[in-house]
Amino acid sequence: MVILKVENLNKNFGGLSAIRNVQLEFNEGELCSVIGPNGAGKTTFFKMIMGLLPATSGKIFFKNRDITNLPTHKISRLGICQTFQILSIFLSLTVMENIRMAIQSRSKYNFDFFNPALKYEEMQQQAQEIIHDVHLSGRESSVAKNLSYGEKRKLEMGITLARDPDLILLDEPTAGMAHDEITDTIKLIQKISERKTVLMVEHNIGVVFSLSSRIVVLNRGEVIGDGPPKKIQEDERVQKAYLGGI
Amino acid sequence: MIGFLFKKFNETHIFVVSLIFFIILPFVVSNHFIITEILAYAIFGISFNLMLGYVGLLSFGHALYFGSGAYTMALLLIHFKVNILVGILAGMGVAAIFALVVGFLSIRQYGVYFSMLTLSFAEMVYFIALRLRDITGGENGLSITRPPLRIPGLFSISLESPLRLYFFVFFFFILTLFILRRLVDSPFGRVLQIIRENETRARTLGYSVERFKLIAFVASGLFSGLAGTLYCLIVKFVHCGDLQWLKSGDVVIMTLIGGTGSLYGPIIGAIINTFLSDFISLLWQRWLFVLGLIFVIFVLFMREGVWGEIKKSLRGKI
Repeated sequence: MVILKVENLNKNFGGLSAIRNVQLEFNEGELCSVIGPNGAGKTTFFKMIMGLLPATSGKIFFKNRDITNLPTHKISRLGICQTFQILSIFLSLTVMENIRMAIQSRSKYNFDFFNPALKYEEMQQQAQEIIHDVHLSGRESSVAKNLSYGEKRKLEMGITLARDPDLILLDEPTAGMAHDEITDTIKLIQKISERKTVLMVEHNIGVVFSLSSRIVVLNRGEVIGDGPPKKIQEDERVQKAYLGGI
Repeated sequence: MIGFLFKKFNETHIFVVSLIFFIILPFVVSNHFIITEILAYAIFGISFNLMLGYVGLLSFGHALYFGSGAYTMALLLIHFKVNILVGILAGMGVAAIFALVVGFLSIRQYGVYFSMLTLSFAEMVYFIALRLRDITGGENGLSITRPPLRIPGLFSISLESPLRLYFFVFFFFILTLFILRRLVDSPFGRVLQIIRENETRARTLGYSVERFKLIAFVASGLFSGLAGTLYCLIVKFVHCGDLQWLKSGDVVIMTLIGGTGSLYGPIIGAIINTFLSDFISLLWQRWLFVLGLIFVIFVLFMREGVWGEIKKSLRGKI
């Protein structure tokens, strides 16, 4: 079943067209990587799906529903959530609170004005599970700004997972990570993709090829390649634009 | 020695300490008028700080909610001789409605644009009130007589005694502090906190940021209205100046001097501001110069206000 469909999507920043006539379909359960050189429009593409940037023209459908230019919180509530390339965590909150706030967003307690937030223990238990999944156990009460860079990346991922979306957009999940942290993250993404649809922007080609069942290549806002990793590796246009002949 | 006492100092203790402080205060200070005024301003400051400190938006038109609360009280007392409690509730209601309208129109803006919009709406109402001299009394204002606190069939207590009036206002002060304390610690309050910290992230988590901000703004207006009704009862007078930007400026200064980081900062700010305006102004006509100087010093060197400095000196103990 098609979960996300993008039709003739365009995005112009003034005279620069960052996304040009992108036409893509993603199936439920797929783990697809979006690759391309810097400035190819990968992050812009994600931000448009998430509703953080308005489309110049074209349509985006999620579960057969038109979500083009819907406000971000509504898109999130329909079941899409992203991680950010430039970390976007709540720095002054503890790891536990960061995760708990993502869980609270899908609870019925958001408009509870009077009870202490920590009264609802089930949310903290769920948060604990997520923290375990992203390998941050033992760091629950650390304030986010005191975490190492790799840990912050894990937290970024944890917040998005805690929102429990059906479609996860990962924007460079391993950027700046140490080697063994990357191995952990690969395992985690594999585990996530068993239950969810994952779209991933990634520069680490090793990660891309070890994880993806499909790769979409963007160059200057256009799709220049789309298919299973093997086909992409052999594609001449892709080689020229990006891979430089691996 | 003192460090030991403060070892397990938490929010509940601060609440109890301020409770005790304000219970003892009228028996130490002889000028009850001023300390009652301080309480009303403290309510104003706390509710204003809900926007500035917790949502991170500087409203420069909070006099509108304070003043509309005060005017509602005065007009209802003059024309309908209502029960004070009805006047208080009505004042809060009117202020909240103003806050809802202004908030709805300006909450999507940020920073200085938000401040300017809230300021313009407040000034608009101020000039309308100034024009409607027959109703509002214009610059000359309206005088009221303070009716007794009366619950039909139960009791009727005169509020002419300064001590009784003080504790009447004190009751609402503690109530506000308690309710807003619960509010900022509630799931709703936590959402305000993450919106202030990282609005985009809050949106991607499915929080409708504008709705949360608007509710906070209305709550802030509601309690500012309460402060206005009480202030009207204390001074037995209301005039257009209560709606003017100078009043909005007062609460900004109060809150910044006291500290925006917590609910308690504005209380300290209210004490300092009221003390300065009531005592220093007797000693020196140009007392505003002193206030300005203090304000500049705080903005330059003590960004977190008096409360921030107290917290710093007790670091690790709170």
